[in-house]
Amino acid sequence: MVFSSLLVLVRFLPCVLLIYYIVPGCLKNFWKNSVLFLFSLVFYAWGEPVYIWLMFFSTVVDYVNGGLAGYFVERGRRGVARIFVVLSVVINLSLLAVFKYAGRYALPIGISFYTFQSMSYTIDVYMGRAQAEKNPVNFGTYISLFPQLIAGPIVRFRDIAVQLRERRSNLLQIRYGVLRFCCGLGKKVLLANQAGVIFQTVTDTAAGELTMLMAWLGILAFMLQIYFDFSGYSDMAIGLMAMFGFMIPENFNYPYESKSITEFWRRWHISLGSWFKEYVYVPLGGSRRGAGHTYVNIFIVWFLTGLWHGATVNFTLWGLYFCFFLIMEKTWLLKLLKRLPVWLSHVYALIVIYFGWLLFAWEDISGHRAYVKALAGIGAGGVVSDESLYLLVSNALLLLVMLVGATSLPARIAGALTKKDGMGTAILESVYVLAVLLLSVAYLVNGTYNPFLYFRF
Amino acid sequence: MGKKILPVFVFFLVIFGLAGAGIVSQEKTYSSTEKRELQTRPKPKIKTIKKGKFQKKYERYLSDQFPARDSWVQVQTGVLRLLGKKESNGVYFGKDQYLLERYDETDFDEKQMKKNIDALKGFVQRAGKQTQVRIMMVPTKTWMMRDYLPAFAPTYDEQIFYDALYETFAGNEEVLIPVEKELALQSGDGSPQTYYRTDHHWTTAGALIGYEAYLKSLSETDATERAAKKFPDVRVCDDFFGTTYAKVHQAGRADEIFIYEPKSDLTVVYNMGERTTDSLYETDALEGADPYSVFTGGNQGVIEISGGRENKKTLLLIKDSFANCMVPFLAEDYEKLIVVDLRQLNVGCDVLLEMFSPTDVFILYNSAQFVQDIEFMIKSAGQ
Repeated sequence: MVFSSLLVLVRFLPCVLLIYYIVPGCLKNFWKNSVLFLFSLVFYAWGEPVYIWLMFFSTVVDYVNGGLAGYFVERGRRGVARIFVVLSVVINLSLLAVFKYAGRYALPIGISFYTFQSMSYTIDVYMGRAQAEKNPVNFGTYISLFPQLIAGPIVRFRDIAVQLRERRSNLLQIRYGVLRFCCGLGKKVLLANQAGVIFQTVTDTAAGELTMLMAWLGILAFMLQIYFDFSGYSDMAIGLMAMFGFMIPENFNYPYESKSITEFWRRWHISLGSWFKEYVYVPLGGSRRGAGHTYVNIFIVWFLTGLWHGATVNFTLWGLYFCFFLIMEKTWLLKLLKRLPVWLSHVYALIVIYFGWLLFAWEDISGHRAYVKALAGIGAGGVVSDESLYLLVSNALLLLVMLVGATSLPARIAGALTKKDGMGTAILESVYVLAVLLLSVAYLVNGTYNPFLYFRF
Repeated sequence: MGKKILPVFVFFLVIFGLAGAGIVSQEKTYSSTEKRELQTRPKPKIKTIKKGKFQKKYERYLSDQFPARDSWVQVQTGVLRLLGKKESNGVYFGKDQYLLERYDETDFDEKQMKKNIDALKGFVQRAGKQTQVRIMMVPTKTWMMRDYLPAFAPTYDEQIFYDALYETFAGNEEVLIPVEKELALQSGDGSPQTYYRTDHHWTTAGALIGYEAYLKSLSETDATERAAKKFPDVRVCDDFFGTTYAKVHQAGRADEIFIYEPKSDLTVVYNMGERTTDSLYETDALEGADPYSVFTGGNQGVIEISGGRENKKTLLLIKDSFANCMVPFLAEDYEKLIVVDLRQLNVGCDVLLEMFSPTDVFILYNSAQFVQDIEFMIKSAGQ
């Protein structure tokens, strides 16, 4: 299922929320967790029922491995515990290898996210950062929690271990969840999908007719689409989790406001970045073993980050592209940027990010040559055409809205408007919720274009 | 506290309200505005759930049966227009409240176009041995009214189609009626409206220009006078919202439908005796979802019209929906007029020639519909 669909908005959510709130919270949330577990399974199985077994398998494997690792750690036999950690990592990575990278099967939705979550569990138990979860329902709930199951944020077990048992829903948290969910829904349906239409138009244009203007618009549209798509999904996930009483870490922090690539990766897909940092970079020695080692470690992390997105060359290139700039920044570029005017840093970061998306946007890199030519204005399509002017004129306002929307300005304005806890704020927030919901429904009733980009990963 | 949770209340009200409205609302099996079957609630079966078929159908059902679906579409298109979009669902918002379908290269597929034109030529060669053949390809509204398109709006260059047509019929051009040129001549100020604002068809006045061009191509000296006498001046509908409107649910202005009442006593037999009447109009259709069906009750397989004129002439009109409003003009000029819509019929053209032994054959299509008729090739080939 996709959050931003009529199915979820007018069927799935009303059902799960209603039953979840009715069921009692006794026995350390056993009943509430059971409801979430069951609905999560339905949510996951809806699209491809077969793959439910895959998730089951992954869940059982990590429940057993984590439990055994915990058992031996408690008894001081870390050597034996390590076997189960290795087993967990090997099995999860094999699942990824077979189902994601071998290219023989249709990609099971969310596999890159839930395998990473369950690996983090066994590792955390082994490292003593978390207690093994003995209750299979709680563990199953953690792995399959539908809000973040298929596109993150990647939640580490220790972030919500206590919440699984002890959380209480309260109305203020639900209010936060509702506002956050609507924010994400709007980003996805009203903005990302529209940016997607522009990008699709450019992608569908034959190489011979692709003009310079169109090529630049295409990458810009993709840059906006992927941000609103993915951060909108994370907003919806965080909002839904709040409605169920969970607090989970943020995944985005206005990445396009960054002043360097180092900063960008602290603001973009934060949960993936910190996962690699915690479970790959630091165990490899991080930056503690001298400059040479540090660069090797950075290289490994970024190679894997690229690979995580897919087996095709373009994703690996994309990871290494960022690796290059990160090492440049670490060695000398950041120092230089600090001495330059701030706006120049912004321009630098945006340009690097912009061309990064050029690598990312198409899995088949054979078309890149022609596209780069078009970007440079020496393509077969020339500089401008009626088609490209039409694309610009009819989307100018939308693009402007999205460019402003990608900054923190709207949030700051909203914050200022709703500073006081009065009737005015309540009405303003209600109008916002109503407007986003109704407009999104209108877009969904008519719209046919509603993909989630990060479902591919 | 009470005030603070107002947005929560609103959120739950909306999702539960929409869920409830969806459950109690009546199922529809057909959308008359979109002209397609709607998905009804699928029955869950283990087999269909396993394969995911049920799930797909259920999602389509939710969208198809969404309460007040048309109004939601209207809201969405309205917002997109506010944001500066010049088109929605493949429809341009043109000048002077004209809604213009967007046609691209894919709508005029080069291969299909060549196949159909070649098939047409083959048929004309065979039919031309015993009958007088005329062909009229009516341009799309979008092409004729390209000046009305939004700035820079891309559109298919239909001249490519006409060039291909004239090239194929080189040496035999007299069978082609240059209706695209006649329509262009009569598109200035003071000319009648030739296409509807909210529908893809030409108006009855537009069809009259086509009729005059047909007469001229037959070297009738009084073509202009005869056409002028048939000017459609009976207004039968003043709130017509056509097929283009149905795609966007946005229109600044409704269309009017005018008809011409033939003076002769006609006998009209639908579909080989399925129904016999004395009128070419179905006024009941005006109240229905598709008022354009007022002309001959929509597309029919075969219509046999007699009583026009005793001149021993039989015209076989092979056509699509663009001809429906021209039939009343033609009916009075022939002793027998056979109107055939190949898309509604499982018979080839050569069989029709044998069946009706016409003295004249007139092939009238809209350019886009002609190119897109993938069966034309087969059916025009005979058996």
